[in-house]
Amino acid sequence: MAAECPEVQELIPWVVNHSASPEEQRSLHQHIAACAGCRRELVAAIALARRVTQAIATLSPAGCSWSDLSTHLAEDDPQPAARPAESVLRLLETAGLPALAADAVRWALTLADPRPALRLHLPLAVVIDARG
Amino acid sequence: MVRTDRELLARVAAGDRDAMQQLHSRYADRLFRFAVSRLRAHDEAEDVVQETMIAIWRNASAYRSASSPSTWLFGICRNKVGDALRRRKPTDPLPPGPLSVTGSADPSAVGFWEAFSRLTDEQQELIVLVFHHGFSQQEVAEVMQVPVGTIKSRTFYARRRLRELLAEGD
Repeated sequence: MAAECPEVQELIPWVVNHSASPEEQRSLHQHIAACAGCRRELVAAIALARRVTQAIATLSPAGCSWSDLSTHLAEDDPQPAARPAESVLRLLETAGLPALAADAVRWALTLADPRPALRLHLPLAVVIDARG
Repeated sequence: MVRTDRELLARVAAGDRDAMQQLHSRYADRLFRFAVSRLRAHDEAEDVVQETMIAIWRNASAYRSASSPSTWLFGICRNKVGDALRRRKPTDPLPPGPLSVTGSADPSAVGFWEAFSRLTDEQQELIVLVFHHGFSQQEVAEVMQVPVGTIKSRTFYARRRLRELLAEGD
């Protein structure tokens, strides 16, 4: 075994999956031209990769549809950044601030956040509560 | 117009559901195959993919462009698989294998899954990420959060062990 064999053998999986750099591929091919042991390793790794791919191909495809996920996203909490905005409004509600002030804060927060999810998520409910 | 994964993630961070749908169509099946190969249970793997997608929706703004989008998504999925494995009771029997779901009787595939199930968790991950998903050394290191040098040596031992196990079964 030559001194560079261990390094070459560690590199083999990434030559087999085509993600090694051109330089790495070139150095491996130069090495295996003269090294029967590493050539056998390469052939074995190609066979192993084929077997892995064939076995995984036998798995039935995912059943997770977009419509299922979409329903969950709709039911999901607002995205995390929306939460501080809600908490400010709830604070206003607790403090019994006039509805107009709560409306102004809500409007400012909505403008400040570009995300449609937040705009949709800051419904009137909190403000209506404040008015009540 | 075809958007890159990076562009889609930026849009998801802004709450764009269409972008989320595109990410889902690109990744759901890939993530599922990763999850089901580890969990060996179809329904549980579907749940993991759904949890992964929800986590992406919630946390897309935390994505940092230093890593590739695919490694970020697989890293999340890997964590969810770990959560699912921890949720199992120690007394729960391990599902016999993904093949029980497909009904496939291909003896070569049966032998493969038997051998594969005898690898360590980490070795299973490495084999699937490298040989099925085609990740580079750097990408695998990002998914698994370990240095590239460690990935190279562990992958060497993982494939050597799998070859031994397959040889025993053949």
